[in-house]
This record gives sequence, structure tokens and C-alpha cells, in this order.
Amino acid sequence: MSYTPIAIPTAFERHVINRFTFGYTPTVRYEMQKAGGALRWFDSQLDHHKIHDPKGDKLKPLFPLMSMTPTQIFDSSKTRPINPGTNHQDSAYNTCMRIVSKRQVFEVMHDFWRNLFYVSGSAPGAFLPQYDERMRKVALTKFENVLKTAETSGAMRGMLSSLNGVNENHPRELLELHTVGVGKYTESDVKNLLKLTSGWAYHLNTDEPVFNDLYTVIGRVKILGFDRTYTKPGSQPKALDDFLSYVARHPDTKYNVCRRLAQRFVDDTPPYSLVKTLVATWTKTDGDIKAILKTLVRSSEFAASVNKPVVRLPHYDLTGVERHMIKSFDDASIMENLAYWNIWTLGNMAYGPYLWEMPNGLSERSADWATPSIMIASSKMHWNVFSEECRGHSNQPGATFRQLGDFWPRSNESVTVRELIDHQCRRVWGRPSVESFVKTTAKLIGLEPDSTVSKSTFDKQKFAWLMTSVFDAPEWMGR
Amino acid sequence: MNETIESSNTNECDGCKEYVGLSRRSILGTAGTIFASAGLTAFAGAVPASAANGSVLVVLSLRGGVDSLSLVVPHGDPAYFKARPTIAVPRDQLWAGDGFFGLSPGLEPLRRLWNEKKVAFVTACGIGEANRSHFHAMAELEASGTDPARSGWIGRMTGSTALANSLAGVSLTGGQPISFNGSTNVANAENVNDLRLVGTEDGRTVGFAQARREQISTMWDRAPSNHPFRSAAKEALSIGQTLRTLPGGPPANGAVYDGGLGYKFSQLAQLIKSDIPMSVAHLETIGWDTHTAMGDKASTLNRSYWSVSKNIDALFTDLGPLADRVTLVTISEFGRRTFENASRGTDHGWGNTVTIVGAGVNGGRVYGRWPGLGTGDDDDSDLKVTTDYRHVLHEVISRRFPTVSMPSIFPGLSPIALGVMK
Repeated sequence: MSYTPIAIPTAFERHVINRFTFGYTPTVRYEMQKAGGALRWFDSQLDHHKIHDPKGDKLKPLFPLMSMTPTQIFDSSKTRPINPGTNHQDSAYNTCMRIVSKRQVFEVMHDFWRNLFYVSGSAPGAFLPQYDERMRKVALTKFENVLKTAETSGAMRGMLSSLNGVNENHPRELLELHTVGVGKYTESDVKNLLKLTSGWAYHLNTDEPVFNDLYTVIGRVKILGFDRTYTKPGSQPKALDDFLSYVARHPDTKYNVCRRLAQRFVDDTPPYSLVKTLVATWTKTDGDIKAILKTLVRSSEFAASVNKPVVRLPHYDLTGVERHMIKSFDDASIMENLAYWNIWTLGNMAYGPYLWEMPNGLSERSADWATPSIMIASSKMHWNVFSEECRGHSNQPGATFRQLGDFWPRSNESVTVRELIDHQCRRVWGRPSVESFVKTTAKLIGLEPDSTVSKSTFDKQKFAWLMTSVFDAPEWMGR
Repeated sequence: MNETIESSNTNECDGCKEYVGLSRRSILGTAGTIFASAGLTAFAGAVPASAANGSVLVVLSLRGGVDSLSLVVPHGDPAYFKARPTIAVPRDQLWAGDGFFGLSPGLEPLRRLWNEKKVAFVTACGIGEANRSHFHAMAELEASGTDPARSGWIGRMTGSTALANSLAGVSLTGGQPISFNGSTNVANAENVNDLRLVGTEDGRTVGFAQARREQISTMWDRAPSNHPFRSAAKEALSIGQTLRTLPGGPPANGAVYDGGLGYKFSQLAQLIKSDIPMSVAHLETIGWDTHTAMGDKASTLNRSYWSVSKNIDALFTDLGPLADRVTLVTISEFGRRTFENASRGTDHGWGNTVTIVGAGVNGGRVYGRWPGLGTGDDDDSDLKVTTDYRHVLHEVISRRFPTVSMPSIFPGLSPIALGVMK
């Protein structure tokens, strides 16, 4: 039987997949076809609760900390040390979800909010699983919910030293990084907000930060255009909630968050026209995230960015490669094997979960990641995933990996090297192969493009170099 | 080309071995093997010989905003103890003191270099206008200019024709700092031994490595001109070539590095010992944002001062005579407020201290015009800046790199002689 090339998406379909999933696979294209096109697929992804996701749903029980409250985590640590620890389990869970979940837009948005409302490894570990699960719950609701979830969490308060502390760390970053932005607040705003962010305590055996300053009357609070007076003792929690409701609707907050969305999903320097359109949707829908994303994906600016590649960020790269390599996660042993390898590898790609210490999160500017060292680290990761030599990755317990036969063109025991390369390009890039790539890759593995190779006898080492090459290519490294 | 791939070769998999053993130091020991690979002259980068063996500027970025007042302690200013009733460093813990300043106990490892007059401090130093935002202040400090291309001062320095080569600047960090922006002659990595494209610089057959390099060159030649990785991918090939000469081996002269930062410093020593034409190296350390729990002698802050000092001393010890080529400067986005907060820490402030160590330093002195700390009653008071940090950098660079065009690095700056450099 002659080689039949598999179908590839249209340029726009590929663009939506590239920007709103953790990596193209033929399965996503199939789902898109089934949904009736790119936009219908996108809209259906926003209704994430309706998506049947057995592989994603299966993950949570494999990571016991993800279902535990901070108190339970603390109590459990009293009897024996938690191993792997909270940072590890939490980030391993997130990484694995991005690889197998069918709810790709939901996972991408969870990642987006987690980076905007970034907490580092200095946050109290017992709060991290709770933080992630709560941020997931609000990821596709309204911005106000995301903001309130983040600012009142034990993780954020711990990270920004407002638990058991009175200092300007949390109020400053709330204004600068999470809402109105630098240059839009004054030192007086910081001091006024400090009245609302202080007074919270964290006891190791509580599930929530506790407000413990019930006798303080805070009086008049003036922050940005917010001006209210609180005369009842212990009114800080109410006052903070009032202020967060206010600042979630502030024009500068809308602008900043919309610009950041446009930067992640469209372009490093997004057109002002697009940001303005997104802000208009925000105003109309009171910050409805689904509505804002629908506007973004239907904008002319998004369509025009089809031919303007952005960097495949290191965590998109790793999870994207593994979306091709991993069939399923099967049992809890992945946590100490593949999941650990993933986290370690991300660290080598300057994207280690919780390793970035500053509260501004990792750069959303694509160009910041386009460095020789990221190229080198990415390529090494590609090789390590596919190389038989690397025991750090494949053949680990707890996961089912695709084998060489799973990558082979269906119905063809034997194909030419050209066809084999073309098949991988279609699977990974969602594009046909390019002749110069075929020639240089064939040469790399010591074969002629028109030589015939068989599934049962093809050298695994050659196959690993072939796959490394496909992932090293511009078609994958940009998206 | 019909050579077989050597399946027994496991060099490419050092990442996995590293993962399994989680021993980065053991990898350092194998660096000689990794780089002692077959020569591939066809792609050898052109490296100007004059750039090697020249001066090296080491920039150590202390991110988070270092508390200058706990580092070079103004014990002669009465407001200091008044503003910091529980966190002031007691007089009896200070060393190298005079009637006004004393050095933190955390700086003790620098005593040898201080006595040799190779350490100087410039106090009340920083950016021109107070800005208490970490990120805005960092951008200002590292860009040192307002050009639309957002270039950084190190990028402009390494991009100058006097220093241009493929590795004029090396940042031992996972990400590229803002100060490196605008130059392609720079590289960054947590571990410099990782800076080689897989398959291009290893012990496989010469033919294989050549084919791999040809493949990478060809695929990136056809990448669209607006592809963000287009130049980075090709630069990655050239960096691998230049870096093949790292010497490896343990630190010399009994030098002992401390912790994770020490590992970076030991890598820096290797880069300097090799014949890589590196002019500027950048390292960074975090954890200086001390909103809480300062003051205790055993506090994180003092431990951090100690670690930094210990590693600076180790670097200059390890380098032996090569230390005469190296000048180290610390930068930090801002200092902290004079007044201690209710968390026994200090919030974001303005003025800071720049530390300069090594070649050409007129050391053993504290420089800078002291502006006074005020009354010690105002919880909003800063250490005011009396010396723009660019004047310090200007003096260091112009003395150590006399062929570099200074106006292109710090446009619009009228330099002021500080006397901190010989």
C-alpha cells in the first residue's frame, strides 16, 4: 500500500491550536473537525465542565496532596515528612494535566492566571495545592473572582509577607503587578492599602489565613479613586473585599490584564486596537473571561498574527513534546519518576516551577525566551525524551509511552525515509515536510531520502535523532 | 555520508545521568572530556585573539533591594539607631570601623581583600530618582537609558566594536538579564557546560556532528525572518564552538566556594581561566527583599552577606594571578527605608551601596557623600542618593576597558571622577 499523508489543519486552525493548547497533535485537529471548525472548538473548550476528560480526571487521585486541605497536609507532615513535597506534587500535577487533559484552553488559562498571580517557592507549601485548585475553579469565570481568590489566599499572603506581618510588600505588588500597574498608584495608595492587607495570621493548623485584629478601626481608606470610611472594629476583611471589587473594575486594571492576554495569545507588542476591543468586552460583560477570550480569538489582530510566530515557551515545549510521547499516566509512581524528571528538566530550561523567586512571574514577552541557551536546552530536552539512552525519561514506571510503531504511518510496514519524515512533520508541526529538512535529516541519520525503511527493523537511535530534528525545527520552536 | 551512529556513545545523555545522580558538580569534573572532542574547523567561530586575556568586569546583581544600612553601617549617624530600635547592627559587631562607618559582620570574608585595599564601597549610591517598584527600578538600573530598543548597558558594552565576539558577555543565569538586551554577543546559562547544541559538539563521529550542524544551519536559514529563534539558533552553534576549551578541575589555591551561588562563582572562575574572550560576566542572587526579620546576627540577611563575601573572596583566591584582570561590581535596584517596619524588616527605599572589588580598585575606603539620615522619626525616609550609580560604572569601565566608547554605553552622562579606581 502506498503512503497516504495524514490530514493537516488549515493555517487558522493550527494557529488556534498553537496559541491555546500546550501543543498540536493530530487528535486536537480531529476534535476541531468534529466540533465544526476552529471557533466552534474554541467555544466548546470554554465550557470545560462539559468536556469528557477521563485521562485528566484520572490524575488527581494519583497526587494525594491535590485533594488535601492545608490542615490535612500539615497534620500528615507531623507523622512523617511529605515526600514528594507540596511544591513538587503541585507542579507535577499541573504539568501532567497540561500533557493529557482534553480541557486544553482551561489548562492554558489556569497557567496564564498562575503566572499573573505568581507565587514562588517561598510561599507556605501547605497552601499551594489549595491555591492551584481554587485558581482552576475561577480560571474561566470573572476577573474579579480570580483577583479575590489570589489576594486572599494563604499562598499569596505568605509569598508577599502579609501573613503575620505589617509591611508594604503585598499592597505594593497588588497594585503594581496584579491590577493598575507601575506609575498608576502612589505611595499613599500603598500605605492605605496596607491597612487592609495587614492583620492576617497563618497558623499551621488552619485552612485559611485568619484575621486576628478585631479591635482595630481603620477609618478612612483612600486608594486610587476608592474612598470609604470604616468605623466598625474588625472591618478590614470587608474593606479589602470592597477594594478588590473596586480595583477589579478599574480602567487601568482592565487595560493591563487585557494587554497581557493579548501579549500571551497574539503578539509581544499587541496592537492598541486589540487591547481596546478586549477592554470594551470586559466593560460590557463585567470582566467575563470567556467573553473576552471569544472576542480575542475572533479579532482581526489574532487572525493577522498567523504568520508572526512567537516562542514556544519552555513549559509549552516540554508538555508539547510529551503530548506526543505519552499515551497515559497510569499510577502514582509517575510522581517520583516522570513527573520529577519533567520538573527537573523545566529547571534546566529556566522555567522550573517555583524556582523563579520574584513576584512578577516569568516573562510573558516571547522575545525574552528567544536566546541561544533556551534553544540549546530545548534541543537537549527533545533528545532526552526520544533517546533510548536516556533512562531519565522513557521506560519509567507509572506511564504508558508511545513506541516507535505508534509513530509509524498506519498501514505501511515499509516507507521511504522521505515519507517517514513527512509523516512526523504532519503529526508534530501540522504541516507537510520541507525538502531541505528531509535531505539534511536523512543525511544526519545516514540514509538517503528515497531509501526504504521498515517499522520492525528501523534503528531506534536513528528514530530518536529524526524526532529530535522535527522538534528542533522552526516550525515547532515558534508557534 | 554513510557513517553509522555510535549507539554505545552516551555522552549526549549526560542530562539523564545528571538527573539520576542530581550531582551538578560531578558534571563539572567531566567538562574536559565533553569539550575535548573532535575539532570541526569548518564552523569554527572567528575569535579576535586580542579580546582574550583582557580585563573582565563581573557584575553581581543583588535582586530584591539590598539594605545598604546593614552593610556599610553609618553608626556615627544618630538617626540610624533611633530609626531601627530592634534591627540596627550593634557597634560591637562592626569591623574596619572608623568614627562613622563600620562594616557588617557578614562581610568578614572580605577582610583579606579589604586589607589589601582591593575593596571599596560607594554609599548613598543608586538611580537618579526614587522608585520603590522592584521591576521599574531594575529596568532603569539595567537599561541605563531610555532608547526604544530597550537595550541594556552590558548589551551596549559587549556590542561595541572594541569587544565584539560571540561570547563577549556571559550571564550565569537561566534567563537573560535586561542589562544584556540589544547584543547578540552574549550567552546565558545556569551551567556553562550545558551551552552546546546536542549532537554538534560531542564524541560522535566527525561526520555526524558536521551533518547535524549543517542540518541546523539549513533549517534556520529557511526560517521566516520574523521567527524569534532565527538568530538565537545560529548563535547557539557558534557558542558551542567557542566554549570547547573550559578547563574543569577543582578550585585552585585552597579556594572554597559557598552554596549554589558558589557553584556559579566556580564556573565563572573556569570561564576566566579558559581562553574565552569574555569581557563581562553577570551573576545574580536573590533574597534581598527583607520586609521581615532583619537584625539578628544569624538572620538570613547576614547569612546572605556572608555567602556573597565568601564567594567573592573564593573567586579572587581561585584565580591567582589572573585576578589582576578582574574587577567585580555589585548592583541592586534600590536600598531600603531608614525606618524599620512592624515586621522587624524594612520596606523599599532608594539609596544603596555599590561594592567594587579587585583589579584597579582604590580600596580600603568608603566613598560617597553622606546625605544624613534625617531625624530618625520619619517612617518614610530614605537614604538619599548622592552618587548616580552610572558614575561608578563609568569609572570602572573606562579605566578597565579604555578602548570602549563610553558615550554609547551611558548616553548623555557627564562623568564625574570619584577616585574609586586607580
